Amino acid sequence: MIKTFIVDDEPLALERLRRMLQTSGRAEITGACSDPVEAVQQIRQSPPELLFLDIHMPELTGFQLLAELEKHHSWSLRRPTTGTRSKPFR
Amino acid sequence: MATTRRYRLKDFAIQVVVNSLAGAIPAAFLLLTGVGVSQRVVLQSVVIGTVFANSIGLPARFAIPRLYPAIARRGPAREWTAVTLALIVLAVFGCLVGTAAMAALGLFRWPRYWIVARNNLAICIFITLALGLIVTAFARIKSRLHRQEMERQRAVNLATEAQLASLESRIHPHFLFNTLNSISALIPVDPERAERLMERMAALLRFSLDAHTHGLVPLEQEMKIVRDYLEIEQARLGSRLRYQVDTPDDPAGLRLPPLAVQTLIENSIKFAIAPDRRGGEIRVLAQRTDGRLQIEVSDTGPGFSLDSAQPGHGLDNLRNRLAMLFGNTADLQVTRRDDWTTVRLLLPSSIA
Repeated sequence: MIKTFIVDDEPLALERLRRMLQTSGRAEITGACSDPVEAVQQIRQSPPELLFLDIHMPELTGFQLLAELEKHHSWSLRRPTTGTRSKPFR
Repeated sequence: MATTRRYRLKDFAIQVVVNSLAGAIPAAFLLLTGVGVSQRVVLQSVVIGTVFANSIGLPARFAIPRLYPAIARRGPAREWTAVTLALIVLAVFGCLVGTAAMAALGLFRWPRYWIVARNNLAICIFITLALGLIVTAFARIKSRLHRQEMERQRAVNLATEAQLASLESRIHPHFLFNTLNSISALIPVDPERAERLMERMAALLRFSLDAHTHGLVPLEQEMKIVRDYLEIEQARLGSRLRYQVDTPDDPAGLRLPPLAVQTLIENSIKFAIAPDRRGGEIRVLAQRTDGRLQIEVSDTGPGFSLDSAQPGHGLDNLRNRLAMLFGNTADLQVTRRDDWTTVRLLLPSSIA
């Protein structure tokens, strides 16, 4: 089982992803958070193996959150995946 | 502008024909009424009438439209004075030219020129003023009708634009996808709520499509749509969006432009709730004050200025619609007090 953490400011989207991952049977959800600032603390305390980050979030975008985390920890693989096409990443 | 276009040859020819016909009117009158008038007199009348009609009418047709742009904006009194003076000058000038033309045609001898000219002067001025002022009055009416038509057309265009913009923002891909995602996420865990959300969405789309942005809708209808919209957005934003909607106990007869309040709430969500990770609160208060409809949409966001409204977007659009519907009798204001930003919309009593 892959230790997985989910960050999404929209609770419904977060729950949905959690359900999908659980159904896959390969991921262990070690944490989920809808507040990107709080998420930074939680992830630092117990770094997961797999991290799902929403991009458009208040105060901290997914990319900013990742940059913040990588000050202390480095992930072996980053694979941006998105379902949004209407706004370019900034 | 039609009045300043080049005086083309075709216009010139038409003008000569029209002038000549006008000049022949006295002759026709003589033929019909003057029993025993000799053919020579009738013919002479036609020639005289035609000569004067053209010697006055052609310069007038040329000069008056060119004079107009300079005087049109100085008010009706000055306009009429200027036209009258111009017509008198043209009549005197035309009288001299016409008399000379008649002398040249051999209708009388040159030494009598000044006497004939003076005899003709009064009738020239009289007819020129009478016809000139009538034509001017018609032209004024025509131009006013044209202007009104242009303004009406502009209003219709603006309304269509507003309708399109409102549709666009309602069926904005983001909003649509967000809502569909919310609904699909709810189906396994709370199918009843998913169903309700779907109905809200359908009602909102229906209302958007039906809304004529130049008309007015009852307050209850707008408030229902506002609640639907807030419920949809709350499903997405969760506990970050807190709201309260208060409407008057007796909303009968209160009307407002469709989606006016919804636009304000959309702004609040976009700029006050969504960018804050702890979310915020929106309060809607609609009430009747002195027979007028007052609506306040307050949020806990950072506040903004109406001047910063982007052209073509919700708030700018709303402002244009209000101006179109009520002139300057409707009021839209933004105030900030105790960490609350309030947009106050006050509609005139005549429609409320």
